[in-house]
This record gives sequence, C-alpha cells and structure tokens, in this order.
Amino acid sequence: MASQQWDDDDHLVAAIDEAFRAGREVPRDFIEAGQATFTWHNIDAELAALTFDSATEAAMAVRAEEVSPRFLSFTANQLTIELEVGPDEIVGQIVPPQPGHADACPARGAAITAAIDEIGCFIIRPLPASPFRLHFHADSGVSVLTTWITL
Amino acid sequence: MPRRAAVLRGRGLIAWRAMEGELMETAPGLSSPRTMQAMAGSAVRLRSGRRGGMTAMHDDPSVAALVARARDGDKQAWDAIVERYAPLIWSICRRYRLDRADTDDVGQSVWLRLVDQLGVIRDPAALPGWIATTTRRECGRVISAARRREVLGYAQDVAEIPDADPEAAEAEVLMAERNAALREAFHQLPARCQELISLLIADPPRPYAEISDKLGIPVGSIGPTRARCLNRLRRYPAVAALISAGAETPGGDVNGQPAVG
Repeated sequence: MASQQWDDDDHLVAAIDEAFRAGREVPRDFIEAGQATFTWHNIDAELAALTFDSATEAAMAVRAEEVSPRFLSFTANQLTIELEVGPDEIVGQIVPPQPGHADACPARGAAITAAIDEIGCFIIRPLPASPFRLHFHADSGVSVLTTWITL
Repeated sequence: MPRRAAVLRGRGLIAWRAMEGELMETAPGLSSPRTMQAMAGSAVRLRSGRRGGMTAMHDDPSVAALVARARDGDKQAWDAIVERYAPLIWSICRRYRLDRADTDDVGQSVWLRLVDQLGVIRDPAALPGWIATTTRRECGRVISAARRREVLGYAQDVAEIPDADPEAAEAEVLMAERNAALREAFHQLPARCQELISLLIADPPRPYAEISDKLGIPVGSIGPTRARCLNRLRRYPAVAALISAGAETPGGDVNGQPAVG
C-alpha cells in the first residue's frame, strides 16, 4: 500500500509540497543559530558533568524567593567546580584550589574572565548570557569545561 | 514529605543527566518504560525490529556519513545536519506551544548538546530519535521553568508534563525524516526538474498552459517530464531507503485506501 503511494506521481508531488511547507515554517535565523553552535566542536578540555543543581532539587515545593541563590556542582576527574548564582554575579570555587583563571563562555558573545584566588575562589560579574559554560584553565595546563548552564 | 519527594526527583534528574551520554550507544537495550531514554530506545527498536522493513532507513548512509564528517570537523556536514533536523525541533516546539524566544532556547540547547556528543555517537542512524527526545525534554524544562517564575508554590515537575505517546513520537520523527529526504532529493534534481516541480506545487496552482509557456515545453510533455523527474527523485538514496522501508507518504491512508496509480 505504502509503496503504491510512493509510485503515484500525484501523491509524490503532494508529498514534496508538504515537505517544503514544513521546511518553510522554520525561520532562517533559527537554522543559522543551530549551525553556529559548531564553534563548540572539539574544544580541547575535559568535560565536567553536573552533579548537583539546587534548582532541580528545590523545584518541587519551595517558593521562588527561597530558591535564590542557586547552587551548582560540576565534577571532573581531578576537581569539582562549585557555583553560587546570585542576582548579579556568580561566585565560584575550584576544589581542590589551584591557580589559574575561569572563563564564563556564553553560546554567543564574548567570554567573561575571572582570576582564581589562593583558596580557589573566583567571581564572574556581570551574569553571563544564558546558556553559558564555565571553562577552567589551570596554570598547570589542566583544562576543564562544564556542560551548558541555563540560568 | 514534599521535600523528600523533591530530593528523590532531583536525584532522578541527575541520574538521567549522567546517563544521557549513553543514549546513543545503548538505546535499543533499555527497558524501563518510564524513562525518556526508554522512549528513544523503543523508537529505535521499532525501526530495526517490529517493523522489519524499517532497517533500510535505520542504515541510511547519509546521516551516518554526515555525522562522521561533522565529527572530523567538517562544518558543511554539521550545517546539513542542522538544516535537515531543525524542522523536527521546530515542529515539536510548536506542539508544546512555546513562543519564539523559548523555541530558540530549546533549539540552541539541543544543538549545543549534540555538538558535545558528536565524538561519542555510536549509532548515527538513531540521531533523529535522539534529537526528538532531547527536544521534548528541553521543552519540558522550559515550560516548568516558566511555571516556576509565574506561580509561587507548587511547580509542575517535568515528568508530569504529558508527552506524546510513543507511537505519536515515532510518527513525528518519521515524518521529519521523510520531509528532509524529499527536500534534499529535490535539491539534487536537475534545474529544469526543480523548476517544473516548483511550478506544479505553486500556490495558487499554475495552469498547464502557463507552465508550458514558462518552461518552453508543450503542454503534452508536462506529464511525461514530471514522471521522469519524479523517477529520478525516487532513486535518490534517502528516498529510495524510505520507499524500500515502506514508509508512509503524507496523506497516506493507514486504513488501507490505496492511492490511485
């Protein structure tokens, strides 16, 4: 039955029409934004996975005012990255502490760089555009990248 | 009690995040019916198993080739992947009634995630199912985030948002694949075939006399020329795979009314 439909010229022309109709609905800039994400391919860094997010822990029953600030934890092989998201800045800590710098890299636009102090703390200010990821560069050469963070 | 539930739920989300990298490698083996991974898994099983004929599409060489090239850094291949599956993301966001800003947010999240995963994809043919599943999950995230902002009190959990049943979800993916294959096949046709078919599907419809005039071919040749062009289109690999897999064309009547032909 289905192969008969493919064999039928009128049916196939209608199918092509339908395919283009579906394609036309999609704005060009929506496609281009997706294509632009390729700049993130093959970044030479270890990925740190999200292991705690207070927003998902608290989503169930807590009033919105009480949810702020938000805490996030990312874990890589040798270290964890803790983030506390405030209303206009992010306070972060690398555990165990090590010298280096951290970049908050939004999907589009320039990164915000912060120095890391002797106890592993850093401050990202202002808040980066969402989504972004945090890229930690240790002076030792270690490079760790978090998964995408949506504020 | 709600707090405890929230913590348990939170753990579930974290577990799901941790497993997400495995989705593409192990999709067919998953068994828990309540997880989204399982949904993607069942979609893959449907194609390669129950509907035996679907294996042809499962092995569609062009998706695999595009993924392999993109993994090696080929931007054009990545662009083609996005071109092909952006309509799938778009249509799912429409079904969830997201506005444009949220749709952009979901689209970006899905593509960023895929870019990260390119290196670990074991089964590129399962990619459309993965994109659909990830898109639905991101839609759920966006919706529950909006509810958290609007309503002070109990926010709806992502898991409570009704999802399409597995068959509807499967149909959504198949339709997107079919549309993508047809668009690509069309663009591979000779220019004259593209012109003719464009005129044939123009809205409002063009009379044959006008088409004959525009293309400089007799009215009597339009039918046979169209037939030759469509035959070429049927031989395009992605379309040929769909045909041999027995996929439905749009308007295909599942109740068994055969097309006249």
